Amino acid sequence: MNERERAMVDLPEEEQTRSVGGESNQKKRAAEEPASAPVSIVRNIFSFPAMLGGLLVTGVFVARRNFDVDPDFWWHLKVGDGILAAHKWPVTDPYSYTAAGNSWLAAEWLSEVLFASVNRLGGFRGLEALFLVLGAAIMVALYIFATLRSKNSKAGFVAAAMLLVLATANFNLRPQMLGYLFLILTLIALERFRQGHRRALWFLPLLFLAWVNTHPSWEIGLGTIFVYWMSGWKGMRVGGIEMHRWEPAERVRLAWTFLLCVAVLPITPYGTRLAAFPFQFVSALPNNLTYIIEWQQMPFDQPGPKLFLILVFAIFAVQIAFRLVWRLEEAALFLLGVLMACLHARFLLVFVPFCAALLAATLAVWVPGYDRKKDQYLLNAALLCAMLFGMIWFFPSRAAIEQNIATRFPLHAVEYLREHPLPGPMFNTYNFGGYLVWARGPEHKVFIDGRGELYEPAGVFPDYMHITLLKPGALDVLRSYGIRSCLLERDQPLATVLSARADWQKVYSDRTSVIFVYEGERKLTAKTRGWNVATEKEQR
Amino acid sequence: MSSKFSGTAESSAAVAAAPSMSVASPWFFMRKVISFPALMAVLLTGVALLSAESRLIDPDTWWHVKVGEQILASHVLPTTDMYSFTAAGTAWMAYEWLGEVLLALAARAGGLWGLLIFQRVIVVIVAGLLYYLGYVRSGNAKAGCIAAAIVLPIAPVAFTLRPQMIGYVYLLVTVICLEHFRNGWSKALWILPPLFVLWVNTHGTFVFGLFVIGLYWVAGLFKFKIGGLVAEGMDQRRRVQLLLTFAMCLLALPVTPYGSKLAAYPIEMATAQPLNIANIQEWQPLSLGNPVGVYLLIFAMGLFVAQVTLRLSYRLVDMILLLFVMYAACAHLRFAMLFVIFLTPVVAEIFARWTPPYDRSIDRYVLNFALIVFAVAALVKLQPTRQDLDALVSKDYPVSAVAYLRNHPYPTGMFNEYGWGGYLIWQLGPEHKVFIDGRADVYEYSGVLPDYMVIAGAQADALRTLARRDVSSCLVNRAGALAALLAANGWQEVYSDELAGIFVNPAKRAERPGR
Repeated sequence: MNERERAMVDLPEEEQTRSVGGESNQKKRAAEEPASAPVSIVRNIFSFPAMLGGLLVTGVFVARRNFDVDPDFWWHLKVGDGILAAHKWPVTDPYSYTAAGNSWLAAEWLSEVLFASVNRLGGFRGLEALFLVLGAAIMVALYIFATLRSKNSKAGFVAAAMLLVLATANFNLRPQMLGYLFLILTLIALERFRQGHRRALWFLPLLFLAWVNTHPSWEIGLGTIFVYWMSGWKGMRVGGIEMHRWEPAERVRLAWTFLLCVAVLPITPYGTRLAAFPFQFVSALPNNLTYIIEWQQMPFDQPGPKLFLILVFAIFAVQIAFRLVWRLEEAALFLLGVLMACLHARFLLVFVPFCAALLAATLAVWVPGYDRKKDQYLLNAALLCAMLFGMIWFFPSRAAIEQNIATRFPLHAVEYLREHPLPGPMFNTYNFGGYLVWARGPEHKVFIDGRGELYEPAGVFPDYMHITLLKPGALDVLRSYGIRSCLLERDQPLATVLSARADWQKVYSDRTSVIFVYEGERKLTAKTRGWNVATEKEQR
Repeated sequence: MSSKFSGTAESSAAVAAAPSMSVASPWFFMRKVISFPALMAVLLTGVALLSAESRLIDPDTWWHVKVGEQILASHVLPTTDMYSFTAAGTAWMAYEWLGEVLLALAARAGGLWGLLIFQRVIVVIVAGLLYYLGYVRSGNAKAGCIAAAIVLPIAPVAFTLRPQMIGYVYLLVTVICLEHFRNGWSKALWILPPLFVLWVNTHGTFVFGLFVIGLYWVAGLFKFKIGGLVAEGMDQRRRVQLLLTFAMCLLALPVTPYGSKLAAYPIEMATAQPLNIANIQEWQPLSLGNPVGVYLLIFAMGLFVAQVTLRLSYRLVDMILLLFVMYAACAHLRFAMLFVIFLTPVVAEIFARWTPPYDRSIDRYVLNFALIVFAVAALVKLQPTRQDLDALVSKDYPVSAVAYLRNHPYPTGMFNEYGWGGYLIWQLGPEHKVFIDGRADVYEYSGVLPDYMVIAGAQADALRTLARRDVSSCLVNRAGALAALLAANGWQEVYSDELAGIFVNPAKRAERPGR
């Protein structure tokens, strides 16, 4: 910093040592972990930091071993399967009858192909393994990022462990898992670049090439690079915010990286349309943003969001008490992560990496660093082996996975439909649509599934809400589609209404789902008389 | 935050606090009334009243008014439920009876218009107290006004016609008294014990008052400075004074017609009414889908940025309160008003850094007077007419359906929407018994609330539950799932308008009305 910039620092000298982003503390911490002689690979694998990483992986396994998949998982799987089979990318919808032939693109095709490939190789167990691998990769990457930032593996572990609960609650086998992994890799690259490793950025354009074909979250990655670039515009300190100026060569390199990442965005089977997809989604799909749970705001009455609040407020309290100094980019990304997570619950996974750096750097002020001299390699090895053995032993069986699927998806109802073909078209609950696409598509078309970008412009989504919320005229809307059968969640209001109507016959029911067939008007009068008779009998 | 009085003349006045003013000439009072701070107070009132526009009527307003009317008429406080057929005779107390009596008096004086005036008066008092609190803390009237104006848009969540509005007035008075005490005016604490006698009979927010007094006392045990966190400590004499005050406030709690039961109610609600807290709208978490939630989020983030960049200092008690109310407001929207109360002095102190204090020598009294007159006239003009009030009620409540029911009595045992129960009680009770209303505590203990949720949600057992509860007719929202279920099941729709529908079970139509 020059004299003018130094004059902006208004802290007494002893407080400057609390700079968690400051150069002085980084050098001080580096002194606590003295440079060591090259260590064998085996020692690194069984080191204490590696064992801590193993604990994080075990935490992911314990939290998410039940193959708790999202309703959208199934149509992702089907789309990937379709691409592998046909060697073509879809350009119109093949899975529904309400939006049949409408323009639609597989915006996450690369991850869908990955899922389908793993399914072909290993079935549900293979997918469960993939899910756990992705979850573990995210947490390990987070740990590495936090350690890199704080130069303290213990602080990095504590930060990652604290965020593990928030992160795993939002893990789901969907392309977004890869998106979040890529985001953390981007942050790692930027941090290494910040620490002087000039070549750290080289792989980012390649990463973005994969990212744009995997999940639309790439724009968060671009935004992150931009924030880093802008935060190094000049060196100064304002209160507890510190800006470290980039060297001219660094600024140019970062700018070129950004531009190259933008340049690769059109390299997709769909050209530039994939790059435009995220912006179209946010601007043209208000019903999706209003009604679909993952797009709704954070539910602060749930345990996970309460933990989020406690974490944010704790950081606020620590900032008051200890007057920490933060880097501008970290503070900005932290606030952005808080805002995004509050507005849309699904962005809690964006908050996690944005918080990790700040959290780890804060903890590093008090957590002692790793001392290789005290390490117990044998003990670490034993613990790692025990964790690995435990994960293998408790890995769910195919039967357990299928049982779990049956509690949330109409697995048995689909079996019934295969044996008892029913008149169509069939109305289905939104949450069942993806499973129906996977299990019976594309021959059997669905009314709706999780591809909101398809159904909202086609007007299907508003009609679906009208029907399921039983607004006046709901059954007329149902009839306007010529619906002859319905596959519904067992306890949803529409199922209760159809049960009471004489013109709909319940033909199948289990704990999860129920199927109705339209029988027409002929039974209406008789059924009404029958209900009144039954009621009178109960009263006597 | 640490108390930092930025001005000189203003700060002296604030520090003195004890209003030992000499007898002044009429011109002295006139100057006060048309001073710049007074103008700011009027403008602030305008902000508050405009914010409160949309929050006049709450579903619970009606039964509160009815209970108050019943108390005034019979001079007896209820001990069992007399308004429902599902929980008839169940033990129940009018735990906000004093507030309900005030509401009933306002309704007697002018009906809906009287209630509107009552609400406006409370809103003005709240705005004025917030302004004063900001001024007392910062010593700067302008900063106090700015702070109150900034946070007031969050307050409307508490401006509905219910006793809780009065509870928040008492909380503001409590905090102001504690601030005066902290500034050296010990006699300010004398107000608190009698205030708590009123408070415990008005609304359950008295627990927050006790919490704040206790927190001030505990914070007074410590004296330290860690970074931006300051504990100022209190000498032993003042700690004893505060402790005695706390004890006297505790002793005031059983001074109710129900003895100590009223004092225990808030704790009972927090621990023994999980369905109420999980499902009833006012207990829902902060919603970022509405402007209040977004505004509060922006506020919280602004505070965070201010903390990081300006290196603010906080008193220990302020930091604890701020974190507590932010968490509480996120967890339950109804506590957003606590956020307003405890944020105002903090924001006032922040703004006092940049806001020059009031300077009497440059005040423009004539201009102030003109602006005050204009503002008051505009506020009066903007108030809703009786027709506006009637339209407001008709929009959300089954006014026409109730008129129909008066002329066409139907079989007893009528199911009703939760949000309409209070209105039905006010219009037709206690002769007409409701299925449910906003007194969720009564219905949770008697098992009615879970049944209501099954029916209103048109779940699989909805019809069986209606039969089990001996319901013969339903007054429901025409656009709801239950209306579709009833129609599908052969219930006859004997009345409908844009909002409500009345369905009757044909098998029970022949029964005599009245219960």
